[in-house]
Amino acid sequence: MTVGSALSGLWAALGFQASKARSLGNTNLGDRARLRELGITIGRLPTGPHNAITDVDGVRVGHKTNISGSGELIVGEGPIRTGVTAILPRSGNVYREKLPVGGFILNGNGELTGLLNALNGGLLETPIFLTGTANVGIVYDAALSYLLQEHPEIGVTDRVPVPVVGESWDSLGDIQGRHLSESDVFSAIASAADGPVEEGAVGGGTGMRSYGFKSGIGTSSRMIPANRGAYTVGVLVNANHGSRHLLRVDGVPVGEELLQYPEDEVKKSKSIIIVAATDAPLLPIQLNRLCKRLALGLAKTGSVSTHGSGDVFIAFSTVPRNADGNVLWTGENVVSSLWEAASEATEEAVLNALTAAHTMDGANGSVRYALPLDRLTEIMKKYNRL
Amino acid sequence: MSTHANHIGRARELRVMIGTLPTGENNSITDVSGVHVGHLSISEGEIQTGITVVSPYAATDENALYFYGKYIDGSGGEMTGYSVMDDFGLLASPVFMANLLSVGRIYNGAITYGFTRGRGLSTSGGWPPIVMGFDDRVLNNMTARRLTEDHALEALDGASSDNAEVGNVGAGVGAVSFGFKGGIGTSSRVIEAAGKMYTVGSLVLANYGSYAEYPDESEANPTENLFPSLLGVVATDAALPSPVLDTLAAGAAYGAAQFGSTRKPAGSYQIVSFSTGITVREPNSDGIYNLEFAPDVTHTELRQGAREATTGAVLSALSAAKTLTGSEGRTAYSMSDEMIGKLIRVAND
Repeated sequence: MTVGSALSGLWAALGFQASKARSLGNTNLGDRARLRELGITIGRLPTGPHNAITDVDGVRVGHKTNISGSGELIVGEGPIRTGVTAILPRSGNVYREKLPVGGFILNGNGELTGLLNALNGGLLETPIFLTGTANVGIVYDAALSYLLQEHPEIGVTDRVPVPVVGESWDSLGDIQGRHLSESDVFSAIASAADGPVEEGAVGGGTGMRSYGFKSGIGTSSRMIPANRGAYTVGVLVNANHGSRHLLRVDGVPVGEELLQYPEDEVKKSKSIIIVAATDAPLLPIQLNRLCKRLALGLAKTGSVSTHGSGDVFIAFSTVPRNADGNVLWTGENVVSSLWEAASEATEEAVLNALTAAHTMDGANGSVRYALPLDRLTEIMKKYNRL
Repeated sequence: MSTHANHIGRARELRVMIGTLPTGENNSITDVSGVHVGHLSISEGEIQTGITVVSPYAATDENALYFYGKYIDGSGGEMTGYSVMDDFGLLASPVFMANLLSVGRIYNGAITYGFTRGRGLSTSGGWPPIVMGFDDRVLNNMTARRLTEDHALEALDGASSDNAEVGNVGAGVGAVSFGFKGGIGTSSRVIEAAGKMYTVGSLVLANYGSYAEYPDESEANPTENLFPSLLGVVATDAALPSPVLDTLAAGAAYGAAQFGSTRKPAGSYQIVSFSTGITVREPNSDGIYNLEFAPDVTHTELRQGAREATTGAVLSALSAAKTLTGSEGRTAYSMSDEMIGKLIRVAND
């Protein structure tokens, strides 16, 4: 019996219904759900068909999840709880036809490589990758290998692109061992698809923890009205931030209601990387502004962006320059609707990460508990929000 | 000061005076106490590349935080660790320079180093890695990607507090600048303000500037660098907060730009600055840090020092760099004495 299962037995005896810990992460939703499937809706704008970042035409997402072993932490061996998520920003060739991009550092204690290049140049030229803190160099290097395969002229006649790689501390497994290979990164890219996006403890979100619960990847989208251009905003988060007491769901202090619910002890488990995509033609400086609204959506889930949290955001438009080389631009008249969409989609994406993620065990018998969905719906009813 | 342009062999050897401020003892960034510099060089046929690392502390020092600043002009390069530098300005990361196709590996090596300083990869333990990327394809077969994680650790292991190597060394092995052989350069300045002496030092990778800036001065065949950039590190023992360190980094950019960077291809500037004059460890028992910063009257002269030291550093790089033949038989020639003389006149104009 692991320490974790002993504890969960104890909590069960005390009347808590902790979800059963799974020794290996199950990536299909099973007894988990998306927030909307529980009857909880965020905001007023309609979602896209998949309520995912992939609702923005051309955007594709792929995960590679590495989970194996359990028990004692042995550096270099395991247990392994890590992965990588790849976001391909357009159906065409992003290196050849770059996209407008912006960013925002809400709290700097995180890495998002390529951010400086993106902010200075305003152009996205590579896929965006999300992974564990220690894997950034490996993923960056693999991204260049991929780009060199696709474009052998890089470094010979053409400029070297700067890959965008965001990280968070995936504290469930052997971080130091860096159990991620170049071929894992290629797998994530190769598996990238449009349509529904797998959420929770998958890809770069495998080892994550948010508001004291198991977390990981979450996504959501919003469409703005036809008279505002009928544009879509999609958001994908890798959520690894926040303390239990802060969690709010649609304004309800769910975290405070669940203070007694079991929680694994982690000293360092912070950061959220947020990626937003839109088919609205926006200038880089407007995408910087959009990123600030990602922060507002995040705040609605309770985050105060603690010192140790690397809260770094990036947003891109899927509209490249047109055939004349001109920049298309929506003008300022619709941006407020886009800001509302960005905020709503971020709030829901964070919550989807929590409702989708399964309880998972980790190194040294630790158990990271999922947000209990039955308790969540009870609490929402108590506050008359369901 | 006289420049004796007609008689110089190499500016550095003759300690040609650039600007008005006196240099430090070795005219090197390592004149700033605490600064450690390491180079890893590979010069084998098609492979002409390397790594340079500059750290505000010795590898054996206990974990502590230092104030950092930065200046960036232009896009196209990479500077990892940017979020922490920009938002906190308080970290302890060695600054690596390596070619753009090696950034991931150098980063991974720096992560390995970070784990030796603590399993939590904290900002006081060298995380996040700062890796500045540049392009050395003119002389180096960059796509061969010869550099490894181990090379990054080797450069760091070899870092010393008296390294003043210049020219074709470290990241400068394959550098090309103003159509000629570029490389690593360093210089320092000492200022006196409010009754105290302070040192400011600069280390540059001169891989910038177009031949078009000085087209008439050369009899040698120029080799144009189509993907140019200037990377720099500015260090000072004056205790300064991050916003002031930003201005020192900007001063360094002005120092490098003194030689002109308006002709295409101009290149981007990426400069990191830090202070070894203040180390942040544990707070007092009341939880308050008592930070004694250098008085404000030092700021202007330190910025001037950063500017002069960087101008001098570029000159030392160009003076020391030796003719090199690399990838596909391309050759970058060492600048002629006449050309160096011309640059000294420009610098002191």
